[in-house]
Amino acid sequence: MDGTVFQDIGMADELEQALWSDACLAAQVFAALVKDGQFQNAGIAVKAQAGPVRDIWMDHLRALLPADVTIGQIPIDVSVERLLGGLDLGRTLAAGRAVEMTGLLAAADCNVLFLPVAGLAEDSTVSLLAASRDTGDVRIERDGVSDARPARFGLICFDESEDADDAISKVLLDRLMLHIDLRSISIRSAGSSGIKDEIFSQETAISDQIRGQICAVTAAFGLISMRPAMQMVALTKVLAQFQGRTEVDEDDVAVAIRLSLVHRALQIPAPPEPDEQTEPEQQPSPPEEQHSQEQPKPDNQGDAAEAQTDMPDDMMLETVQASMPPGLLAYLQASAAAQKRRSKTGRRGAKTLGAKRGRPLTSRKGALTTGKRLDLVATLRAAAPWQRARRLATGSDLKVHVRKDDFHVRRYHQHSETSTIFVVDASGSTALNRLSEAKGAIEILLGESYARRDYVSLISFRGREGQVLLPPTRALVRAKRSLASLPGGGGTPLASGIQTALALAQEEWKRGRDPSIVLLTDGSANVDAKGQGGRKNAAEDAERYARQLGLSGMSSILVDIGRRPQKRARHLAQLMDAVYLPMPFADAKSLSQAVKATQ
Amino acid sequence: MPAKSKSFPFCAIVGQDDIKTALMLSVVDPSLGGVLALGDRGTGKTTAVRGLAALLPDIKAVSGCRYNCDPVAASGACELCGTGKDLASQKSKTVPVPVVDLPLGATEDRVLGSMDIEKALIDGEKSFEPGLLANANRGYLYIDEINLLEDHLVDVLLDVAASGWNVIEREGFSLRHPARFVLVGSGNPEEGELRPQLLDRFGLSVDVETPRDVAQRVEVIKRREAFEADPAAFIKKYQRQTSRLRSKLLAARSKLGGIALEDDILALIAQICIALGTDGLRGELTLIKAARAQAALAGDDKIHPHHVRAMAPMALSHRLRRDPLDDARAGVRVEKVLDDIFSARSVA
Repeated sequence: MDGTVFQDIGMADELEQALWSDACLAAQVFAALVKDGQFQNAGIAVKAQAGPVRDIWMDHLRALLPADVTIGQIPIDVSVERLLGGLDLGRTLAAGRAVEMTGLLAAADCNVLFLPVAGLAEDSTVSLLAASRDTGDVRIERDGVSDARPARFGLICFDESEDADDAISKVLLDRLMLHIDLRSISIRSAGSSGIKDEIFSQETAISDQIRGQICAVTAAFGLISMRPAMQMVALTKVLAQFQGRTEVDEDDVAVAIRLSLVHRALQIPAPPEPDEQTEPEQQPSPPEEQHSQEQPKPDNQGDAAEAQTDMPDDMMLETVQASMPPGLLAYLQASAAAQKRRSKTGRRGAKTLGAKRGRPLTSRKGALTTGKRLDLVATLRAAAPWQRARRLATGSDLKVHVRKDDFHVRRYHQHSETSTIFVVDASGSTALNRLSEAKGAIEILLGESYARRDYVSLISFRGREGQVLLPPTRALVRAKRSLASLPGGGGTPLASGIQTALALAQEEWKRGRDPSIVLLTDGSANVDAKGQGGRKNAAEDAERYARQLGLSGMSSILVDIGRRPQKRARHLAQLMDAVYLPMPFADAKSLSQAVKATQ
Repeated sequence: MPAKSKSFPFCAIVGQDDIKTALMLSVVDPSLGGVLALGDRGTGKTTAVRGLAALLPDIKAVSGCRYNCDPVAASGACELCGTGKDLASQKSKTVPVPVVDLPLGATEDRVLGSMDIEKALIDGEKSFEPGLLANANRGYLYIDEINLLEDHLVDVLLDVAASGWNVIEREGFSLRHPARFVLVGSGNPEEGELRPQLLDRFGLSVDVETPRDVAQRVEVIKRREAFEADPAAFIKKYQRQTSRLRSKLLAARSKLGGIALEDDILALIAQICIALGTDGLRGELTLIKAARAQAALAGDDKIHPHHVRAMAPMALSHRLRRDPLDDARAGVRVEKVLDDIFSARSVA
């Protein structure tokens, strides 16, 4: 292992030390790449909460970077205009000719950009960052400006996410070479570290065998895209140069795996599982009981790997295992599991409703504040009648006199997006008779929601608590998949189901969407909010949360899935202030009409 | 890095046969109606489209024309060139086929064209500044991540792509200019569904996947490394292949009109479309065109059933009436229907 340089670390436990030394090595690689001008490779994702360890690491990195390299911060709510640049209105009007404004990306050319809380970045920010990392430039086609400028920059992303909700977008992860995790490192482990001399002079060779190993290993970690493999090639070359070698060897691959792959792995290759794990899954996998994380013995790995042609060979697995400091594997699995458990909703930082999209309306006179777009023609039209008077009044010979009062801004009309939250009783009693009907009803509504481009999400309650099976998504395929695998059985924690739905609805509302809850239940409950059995408490808790939902003003529908309409279901609907629909009478059409009516 | 002209050679792309075929067909018959490439990140969609640019033969255009009007064909010329007395007598220039990349964050005025701000401010003069659609005339318009584009912009683009004309009736302008281009869109269905109306407007759709085979992946990496180390030398290495492919495409294009379409092939195409339940006639028409282009590319004189078989998935799989709850991917359904039809044929 690469412990030679970091001997002055304190007495912390071995794993902490290993993680910290990796983090420092990653900082060195990053700095070396920036110095060498390999900006498209200089990218790092740092999993860390705000705190002293992160600050120490950041100071460390800053010290490694050349003095003339600046680290520019991208504000989390940065606008597309600010990132790309475009027409500088103020100066354009003052100068009387089109003046271009440099955006953050172009301004950062040959420097480093830093994105704090990367998980909360808007989709547009992520896409623009990704595009300029791919091409090394920005192309501006905005407001009459047409330009291309170089934008090669190193990128540091801080990932503060506690759960899958606000994790960094996969689009970005794919384009960052280095991935480190500081979350479990205590301050005493975060000591100083030696600085390596970079050697960036000679060509570094890499053999086909090593390339093959890299390809196999990236695939084994579930990283199918070619970018991680390319990044590994570049990374191993840097690591070989650090060691003063001119050829990449297996040790470099082992170190590179730690710096680039393990912290963004979609699967951990040690146990070659032949199941569906190859597919990146964001949603919490339904029943944990089925996926018990067993550790297969290393001796039967050979055959399993042989069976799948794309799976790594023995040697590769050995490399992977040798590259992991003791305890890292367990740590990764634990943090992945915790992330899944905590996951409540879908991704954050989705679209915000702004005055920027939708059907255009006529422009109105107004101040040009952030996020508004000037309607230039209307503005000029407003200014036109005053030109002579203003010219006389000011005595200047500017061709066009535009004042602030002339500004007209564009207005748009947008339907707010709706988000339908399905809450299904999947307990044993329902599973026996009505679950398939309930699924059928949801399928009908899903189809409807799809046609309207709604967001849909799925919560089921069974056993001890309600669980978000599918965070809000527009991808119908995912909705379908999670509905198909909806497991049944266990107690009826109705209260927890309603509570989970309400929490999700509130998050959706904060996101600017219009949530509505569709609860499928027969009104019976036998598990209370704390996960304890007992009909009486369970019913009371359910009523309490139903009342809370009613008071919150969220629109909701209660579909009674009892064999015949149940009194307690109707009562619950009243508390929730919900539309009540007994399913025996609810056909597809009335169901979808009811959902539409509440939105 | 920023040098656009030095794009990765089309012929050096490893695997990715579907998207390469689709793009080649769009060169043979630009009226096919665009290509939609669906797939994950990092699958080389962008590389393929950019590589196409280097492959395309230069075109002749009226010099000074902002829309690159064809000096030979008067129909479809812009207002200036169209009213000109004699197009053939005008000076012409040779230009590369435009491949216009619609960047993220492009605003409507730059896409469709709008008032020239500079002129408006300095001279108080109202003059039209053509947008990206004008630049793309007679070439390609590439949109990466088409699902991130605002809906109304996509609608306009599809309208223009279908009609070949960009009609501007706003900001006091009333004009139209030719905008015949092949629309190439890429998107990742996992990151947001594409609207069915949008899907149907594309001629061909292909799924793009990263090669899973280790040997292929190694080859991808090696070629990338070689290209990045010395782009010029790498491009040169593939020059012969590139020019061979170019002449093949040109030959196919000139042959296109002479490809025979027999009644039994028409019946076969109709049978496939009926079995799949595709909406409207666009599926049939596209499949005919695609099969014809494929036949031309293969050097055949008429459309054979195997051309139809080969082209049906990319011409039809995005047009199936979507059953939102059917698990099978569209491609699988198409393959199944094709297998049934063709095995029945071989028995008969």
